[in-house]
Amino acid sequence: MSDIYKLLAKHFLNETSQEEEILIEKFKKNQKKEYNLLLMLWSNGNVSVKDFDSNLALKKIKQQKNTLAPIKKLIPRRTIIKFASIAAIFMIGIFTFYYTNFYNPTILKLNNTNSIMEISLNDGSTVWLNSNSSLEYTKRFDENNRGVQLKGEAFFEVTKNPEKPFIVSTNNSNTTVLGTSFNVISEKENTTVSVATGKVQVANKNGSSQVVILPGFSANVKESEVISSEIKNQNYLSWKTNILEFENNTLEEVRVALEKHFNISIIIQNEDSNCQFTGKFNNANMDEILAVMSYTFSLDYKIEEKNYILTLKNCK
Amino acid sequence: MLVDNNKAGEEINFDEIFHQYYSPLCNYALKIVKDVSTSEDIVQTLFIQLWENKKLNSVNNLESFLIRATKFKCLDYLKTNYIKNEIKYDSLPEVIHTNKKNIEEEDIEPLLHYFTAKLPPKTREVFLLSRKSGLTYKEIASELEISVKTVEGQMGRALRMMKKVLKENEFLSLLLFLKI
Repeated sequence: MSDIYKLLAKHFLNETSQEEEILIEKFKKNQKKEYNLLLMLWSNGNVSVKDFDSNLALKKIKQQKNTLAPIKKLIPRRTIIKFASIAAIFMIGIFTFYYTNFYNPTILKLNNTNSIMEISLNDGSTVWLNSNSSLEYTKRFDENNRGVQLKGEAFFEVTKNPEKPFIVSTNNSNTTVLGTSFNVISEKENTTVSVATGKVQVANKNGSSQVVILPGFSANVKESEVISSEIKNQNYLSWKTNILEFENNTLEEVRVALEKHFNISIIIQNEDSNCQFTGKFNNANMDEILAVMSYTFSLDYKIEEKNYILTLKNCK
Repeated sequence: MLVDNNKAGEEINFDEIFHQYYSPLCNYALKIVKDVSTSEDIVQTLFIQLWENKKLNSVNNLESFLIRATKFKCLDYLKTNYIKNEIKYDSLPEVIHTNKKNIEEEDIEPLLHYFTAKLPPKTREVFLLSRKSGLTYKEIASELEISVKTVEGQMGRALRMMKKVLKENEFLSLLLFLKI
């Protein structure tokens, strides 16, 4: 078989004998592709080989390498991509870790509507936020102590968790509970906390003065002094329940409840503390209440510059 | 041969490989870029890169790899300089703007020159006298003062090496797809 190339070379140069041609024909038949390929290569143009001096070239590239190598030490692209990928994965990991463990944005609920805003917190507690009030807390507020900040008025129904007290801060007080329902009103320098169920601890900001109050009692924080007293306005939750209930209340007491409930100003003329009023209003508006009252009290009323002026004639 | 990984060994290997392939690869490149110093630059750059990347130790079929790397560097050069308008359009080989079939056909001439440059000196002398000068076996025999049998032997050897280069470099299988 090794001789076939000798024959092929002769064949291409037309130097074969007739006997040899027979062998070539056989090769041609059996290995047509290889034959054609060699023929194509063989018959391809002029062959003119130039001698390149590899000694000189090697000297040259060794010089070049010595001068260039330290500077031109390129990092292969694949390596860069590899490291970049690793770095990217790390950064995503760090970000995810940070996001799940530390990312804790502050949430501010601001109620500037006329209706009540109901807020459900992570720990299961519910807050009813009155108009013109705001509640501030962090997304993960229940991680250590459950702390929220209040401006305005809100009613809290706190889920029990003895390990994590729920703390409502106003600008001058901290109210601490473990699980109960209570109302907090925070005005400028005056905070009033009224308890519906459970037990609540109310303290001033620095904790120097504090009281524990029970249902039916309220605590008032004013000028860093905490004073507890019985709840006088039994309608303190009317803003939330929309129920106004009076039982042998004087007109003055009714006035306070109505002013607060409807956020209006009422002036009473000819007040008589002997006149007492009993009644219950469910979802009633001011006009309906006044109609009922004027019937009971023999009462004149008019509206002047957004003030209701009630003139008492005589008790019935 | 390329297993030795220490520095001295690597350098010996490098020199050896360089001497073995430099001239054939330059001849190969010359047929594509048609410029002597450019083809030398291309092959030298290739070897510098191989040296720096320590690639020589990890290449399976070194010869095939070197030929292909040279080819791609040449085509790259042509494309770049074609864009720069430094090469006249008519001097562009077909490789750049034809389909794959023609690319393979275009491979033959550079490959023939690579192969010829790689032949041992005596075989090459005989081969060139026949192929380039068109002398008969008898004329070659008297020119070189050797027997006709020797000439026959050298020519057969040349052809066998030619086939070997094609086969080892997988060009054979590629070219076999062509209907010649």
